[in-house]
Amino acid sequence: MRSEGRTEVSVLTGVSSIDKGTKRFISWFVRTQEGVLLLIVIALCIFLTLNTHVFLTARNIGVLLSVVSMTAITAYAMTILMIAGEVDLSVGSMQALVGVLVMQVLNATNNLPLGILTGLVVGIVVGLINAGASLKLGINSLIVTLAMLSIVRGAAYVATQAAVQNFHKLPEFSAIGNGFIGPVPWPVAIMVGVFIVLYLLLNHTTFGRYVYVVGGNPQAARLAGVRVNWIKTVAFVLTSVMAALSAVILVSRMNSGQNNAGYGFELQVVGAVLLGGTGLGGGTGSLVGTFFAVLLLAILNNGIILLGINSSWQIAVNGLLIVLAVYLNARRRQSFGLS
Amino acid sequence: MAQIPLLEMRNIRKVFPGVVALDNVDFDLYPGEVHALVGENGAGKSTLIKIISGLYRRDAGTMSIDGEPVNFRSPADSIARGIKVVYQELDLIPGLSVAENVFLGNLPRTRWGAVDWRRLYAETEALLRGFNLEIDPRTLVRDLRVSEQQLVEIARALSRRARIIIMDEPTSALSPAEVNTLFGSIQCLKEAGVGVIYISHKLEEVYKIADRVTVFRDGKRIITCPVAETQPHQLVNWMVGRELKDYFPKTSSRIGRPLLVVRDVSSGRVQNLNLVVHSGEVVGIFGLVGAGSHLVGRALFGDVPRTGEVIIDGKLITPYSPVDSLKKGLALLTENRHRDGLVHLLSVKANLSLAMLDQLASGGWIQAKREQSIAAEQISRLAIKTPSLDQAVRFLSGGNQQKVLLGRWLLCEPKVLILSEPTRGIDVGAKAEIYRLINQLTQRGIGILLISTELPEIMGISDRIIVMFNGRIVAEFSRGDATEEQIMAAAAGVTTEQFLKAREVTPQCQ
Amino acid sequence: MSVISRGQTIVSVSYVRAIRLLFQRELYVLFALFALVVTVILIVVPESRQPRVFFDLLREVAPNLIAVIGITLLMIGGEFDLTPGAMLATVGVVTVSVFNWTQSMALGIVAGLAVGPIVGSILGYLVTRLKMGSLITTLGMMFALRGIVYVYTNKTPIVDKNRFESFIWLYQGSIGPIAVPTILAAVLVIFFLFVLTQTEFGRHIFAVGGNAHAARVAGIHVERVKFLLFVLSGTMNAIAGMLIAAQTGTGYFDAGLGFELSVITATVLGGVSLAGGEGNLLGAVLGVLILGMTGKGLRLMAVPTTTQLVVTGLVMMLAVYVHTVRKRTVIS
Repeated sequence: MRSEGRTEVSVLTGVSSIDKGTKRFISWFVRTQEGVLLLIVIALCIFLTLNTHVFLTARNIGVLLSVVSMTAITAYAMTILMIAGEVDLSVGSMQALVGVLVMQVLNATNNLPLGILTGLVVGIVVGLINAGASLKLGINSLIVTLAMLSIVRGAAYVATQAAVQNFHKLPEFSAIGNGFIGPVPWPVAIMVGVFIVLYLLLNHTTFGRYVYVVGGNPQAARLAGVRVNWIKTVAFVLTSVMAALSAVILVSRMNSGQNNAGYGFELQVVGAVLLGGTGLGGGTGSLVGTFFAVLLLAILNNGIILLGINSSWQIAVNGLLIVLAVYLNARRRQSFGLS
Repeated sequence: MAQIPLLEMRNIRKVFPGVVALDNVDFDLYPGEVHALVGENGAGKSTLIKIISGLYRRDAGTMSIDGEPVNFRSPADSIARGIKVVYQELDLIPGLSVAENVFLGNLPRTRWGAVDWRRLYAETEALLRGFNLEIDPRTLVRDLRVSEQQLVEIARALSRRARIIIMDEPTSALSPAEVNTLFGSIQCLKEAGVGVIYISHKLEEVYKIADRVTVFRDGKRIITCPVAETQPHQLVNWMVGRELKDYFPKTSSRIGRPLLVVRDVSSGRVQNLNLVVHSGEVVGIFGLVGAGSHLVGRALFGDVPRTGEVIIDGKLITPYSPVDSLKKGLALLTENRHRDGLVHLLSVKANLSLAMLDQLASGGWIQAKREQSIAAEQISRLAIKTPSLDQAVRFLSGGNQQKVLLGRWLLCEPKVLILSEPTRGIDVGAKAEIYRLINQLTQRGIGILLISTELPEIMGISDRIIVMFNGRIVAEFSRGDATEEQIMAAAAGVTTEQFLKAREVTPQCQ
Repeated sequence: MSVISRGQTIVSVSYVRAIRLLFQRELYVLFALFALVVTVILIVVPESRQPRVFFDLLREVAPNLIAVIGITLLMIGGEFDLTPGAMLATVGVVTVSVFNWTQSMALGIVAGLAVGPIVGSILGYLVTRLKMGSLITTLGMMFALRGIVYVYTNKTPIVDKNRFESFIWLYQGSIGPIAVPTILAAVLVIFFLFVLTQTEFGRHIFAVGGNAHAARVAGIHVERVKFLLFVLSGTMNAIAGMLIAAQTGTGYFDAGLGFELSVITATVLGGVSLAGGEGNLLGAVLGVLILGMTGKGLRLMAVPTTTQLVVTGLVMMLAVYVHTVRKRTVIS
């Protein structure tokens, strides 16, 4: 996979008994962000397998993968948005609002497609609001979505004071979050599907190319005839819709719509995207990196619980990892000569 | 008896990853002299200046001031030794007043440590008056014209009682009268024993103001002579390493039907613009900074809103829409390729194909092979030097970057191409290539609108010359009809006689 | 732009200039807005028509005012700080914990206040030395601090077993008719107003935020200025946190949730540019008062807190929008 935004990997030279191809393969692990992340993931897995007897069980892996799936689905779309130079901090509050509304609609109508459609529509609406305020009003998207974080959360609280219980008992609904398709859990299947679609979109379509251009130099993009606002709007809507999709999976797993769901979710998603190698300034990024970062964060959080460490550490660790991600990003930008 | 040099640098060496910026360079400066430094981009001039000013540390060599060895760790050290640099990019704080900028880092204080505004304004006003500047020191820099900002910048240099002043392209935004004022002040500096290092692309300035000139090329010092003992073409020769006979190769081409018709276009400062560009013709627009000539390009192409009509080959273009302009056959190469041309992190290939990517895709899916072949073709046609198609475009030299952008627009097959400062920041060799390309384009029937502040360029390439002043067209000349003085007078908004008179008068010292 | 003709002398402007820096056109808009909000509340909410309500308001917003000082200076200098809320919790918890360990009020206060410069130094180092973006770094620090506080307190409030009355006096007490926190806030605001507009350091802050390269080339130590601003902001946050803890003598692990949002909103409302290089401390102060008044009015009307959250978010967007529009009309 060649992403336009990365410099070429330099090939190791010198006398050695290992052939060039293998050397390049090994150097990938050390040179690129994705490779380093994967190494850490593997190391963590080994560590946890040795130190807990629960980590490698089918049940734990299943839970882990489902958590990963929910974060990853949103994180993939967020990667695209951040490459385009924007950000969306309202995705956490979306987990609450969408979950609550979907459950309410399902309870009222017993109609699964309608319920899911509701969630997606909320995603589209919020995405359009984010895009409109950021692009038309000219307010920094960080501020806009920070404000939307409060507004959407407030809306969830307005929609319901207490958790919305599952009265419809639709079996297909529970299957979304808990069921399997063959040996693969549904959330994982959805995640893989989303990854494939977004990967192709980002790397092989004109839209994907324009996303990189818009993030890299929006003024140049405009003068080259690229519809900058349109590209960014699509990215905003895509992110909110994916957040809504994650929320549907979440509400299925929790079996109730909770208005306090998703606290800190935006932190995990943005943190994973940053850790995965996407720059804050836009113009560069990688879906594979995001995936490994999501995996890393999830395994770390999982490990904290399994090792019996106070679960409050998760927040602290997530915060520190963000700092680390930005540090790495800053280092790399300096070598680019961008800062 | 030999004078002790104000500044002496011997065997200076500075290496960056992958490139030797300065290779065993000597340089010195005596009190009361103006020592010009010339060379192409990348020759090492700005690296030397950054070492002198303390921004960079030299890797090897010695530097001494008044005979004493020095070792600067930061710009503050060099400022303490009396060195002041006036950069090309203005180093003023927009949110602070003129007075605060002039005395930045050096504000006069009262007994309790607060800023002594009274003294600050009085001293600033005196300084500005000595410079013939009529600017209220309380004005925020943000609210000044570009030329005024540049003069404030220079006044700031003088306020530090600097002993060595380095000027990097100081006249880019100045009118001829203002340049004269500047040279008058430099004269005063010389008489006060200050040493001036003067960097400029404009050789005519070097001949007017400098005592000695040093030529850099590829990180090496080529030669240093008294200016009186050299000729301009010798300097160019040393800078480039070869004789540039065909500096402005102009081939005549058939001039055909009107391709660009501009009727009554207004946008911001530009008012009531009317002009025509025919097929195969090069129309040059000349104007000083502030005349609005660059704005013309942006307004016509749709980067900024405008009123009036723009017609490309009979078709009307929607205002403020680059999409429509490109569709109807109008393209713009802007004067600032880094700000609004290049997407630095992307490859040469992606930068080339950007404006016509939709044609390379079916249903949104990019056909990689087509993109590859089209890009390769363009690279060979324009002689773009790059290790590969996938090289990130930020690694290319300025000239090659410009060619990439030119390639981008050519791939759109425009009928009319607006070139705004196409050779800015490019070495002499690449400049000649660009002029050759412009000739080829006219042979193909494309109409070119060339906007430039370099008079020799405009006079060398254009079939017709349009002069702008204060947002309006004030004169039009055919090729060969005009003298340099006539054009410059028009650009300064005065009659030719007035212009010639102003050039003779140099203000006295105060 | 004003042009003076040759031979005209400048009017002596020292005091006029000082006052002019304090009162610019944008401030009139904010004054008007504040007056409007007050009038509306006086009309709509009958309970508000007692002077005690306003004195209470001044006491309640004192922590915000103090925190706003640090944030405003930092933002003019071109950096961000998202840690105020987390600092409130951290400082409160540290202070009361030390009270309980040592039975000494002095030690507790010193310890709590020390957290401010310590955290500020760490942030300053990360941003100026390691060149990390302040927005995300302070975001990460905010979560790190909150997490540590959660872990340490096990999500329970820390109560002061000594029941130091003089500590509580710091928040609840009054000197004459004016509350102690208000006096403290006023003193700090006036002092830093002076620093920002009348001292060289204050002008350097504008320089560093407006054009860091120019500032550097003029010999200003950009990194040192920014580092100091972070330490300053941390200290202000710590003082604010101390006041909050003094409210009830308890260190709350969840103190200050949403605090950073309201502080930044007030700053932006007050005219501080997100890009740095311009701003007005008085404007930020007015911003705090406007937001505080609005919040008080909503509380008096018994509007639930989550709606207040929505309102704050909307105000923030509105504030930035107005500011952006005003900037654009100035440019064109």
